[in-house]
Amino acid sequence: MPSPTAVLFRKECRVALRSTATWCVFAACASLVGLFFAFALREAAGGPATLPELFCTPLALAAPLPAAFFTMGLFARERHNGTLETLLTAPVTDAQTVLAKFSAACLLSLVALVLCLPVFHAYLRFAAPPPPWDARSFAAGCGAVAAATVLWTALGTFFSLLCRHESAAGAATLIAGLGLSLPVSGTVELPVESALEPWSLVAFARGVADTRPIFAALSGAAFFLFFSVRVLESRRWLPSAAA
Amino acid sequence: MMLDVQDLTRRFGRETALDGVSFSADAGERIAVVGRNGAGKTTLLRVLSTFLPADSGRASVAGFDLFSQGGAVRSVVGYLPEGAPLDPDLRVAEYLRFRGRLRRMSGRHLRRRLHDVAAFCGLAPVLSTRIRALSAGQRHAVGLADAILHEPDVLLFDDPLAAADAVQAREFARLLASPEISEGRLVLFSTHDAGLVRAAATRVLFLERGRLAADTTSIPLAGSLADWFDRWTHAEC
Repeated sequence: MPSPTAVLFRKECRVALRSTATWCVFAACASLVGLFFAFALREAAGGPATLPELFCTPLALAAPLPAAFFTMGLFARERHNGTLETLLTAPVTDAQTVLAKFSAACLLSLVALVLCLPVFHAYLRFAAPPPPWDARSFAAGCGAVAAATVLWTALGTFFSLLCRHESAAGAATLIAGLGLSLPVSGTVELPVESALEPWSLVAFARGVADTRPIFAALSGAAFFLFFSVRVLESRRWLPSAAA
Repeated sequence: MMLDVQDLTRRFGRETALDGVSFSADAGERIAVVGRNGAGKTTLLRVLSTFLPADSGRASVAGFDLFSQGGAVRSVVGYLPEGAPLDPDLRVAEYLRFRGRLRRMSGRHLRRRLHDVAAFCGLAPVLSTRIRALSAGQRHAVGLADAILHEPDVLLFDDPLAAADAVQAREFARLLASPEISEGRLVLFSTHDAGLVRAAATRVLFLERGRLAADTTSIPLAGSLADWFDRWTHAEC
């Protein structure tokens, strides 16, 4: 008999995959990565940047988009529909609820990024002469992007609990994600690049796998998930079910 | 004793929504919780459903302590919140299957119960319809089916006729009084409808400003709830 966490996880995935908007986000994410990758290739011609570096940079740029999209409705929609009350009176704990919803959003966000990989494959297939690249560096770069995605998803889960409207939760996730990166890099004039800085993406994609940013991303995700559970518990303290 | 509530108190800031409410009830009873808006009816049902914690007091539901065994209480309680909130993106059968699995019902048992409650609540023709396409009455029936799907020992309905028309109200009163719902179970429902109380309740709890002002099994055969409130309020004085 599946656990309530698995049941809730499957339901979230099923509802998301049935939505046309989900497939539009998958397509938009792949298009965005392809577009940025083409720009990066043109700009970096003859430069020192490696091929995994050039691909993982747009991949990391696109990562917050699916994370924000798939998390914005997790709890905000439940509150909007009033179904949070029925969910919280089912025999499932608050931690299980948060974990199931976060896992579903995380998986869908990672799927969106995996669906961008054909862009890289297509370039390798059609480039002449075939460009040299290192698979391990590529895997390390993708791993760093995946860790960042886990953090964005946890952040989005947290904001979805705080906001009543999905769009507000999505916008807050994007803004906070970018805002978290800015103080670290200090390059306010180039926010798009500075968002990548904390994850040492360039180093990862060059094959220098530093575990510190991975640890920072995963512990940051755990931090936001812990607070998400606390916020969900606090919904019970308020007089209104929809509060 | 299916339900035992002692000195239950719940405050929201300075406002006391429930003020030392005590009562007990057995299986087979159908209890109507009545009172003016803000009297504490919804808060009482939310506390008993474990959605809201109480500030003080104690309560047990089907032998489980409400505060230390919340998970066990949830599995023996069927709760229909006001307005019957449902996930509009799911189909009726899908939603009920989801709710059943969430309560750890086994596949065969769930299929059998799904078939039974769909027939009982008149949902068989709309099982494959998306919830967003249902009428208010059908949505309410889905909420009722969800509440009784796992054959709970205690049923809690918060103002079940809030959005019902006269026909739906009559139909709900019939369902509530039927043996399928009430036999061997405790049913507790809040309402503003005197007709529903007369048709379905065996006992009435009257809440006034968070306090239990009257607890009676002699249900008036005539008059509106306002008349009853006046009588019970004066009797209390």
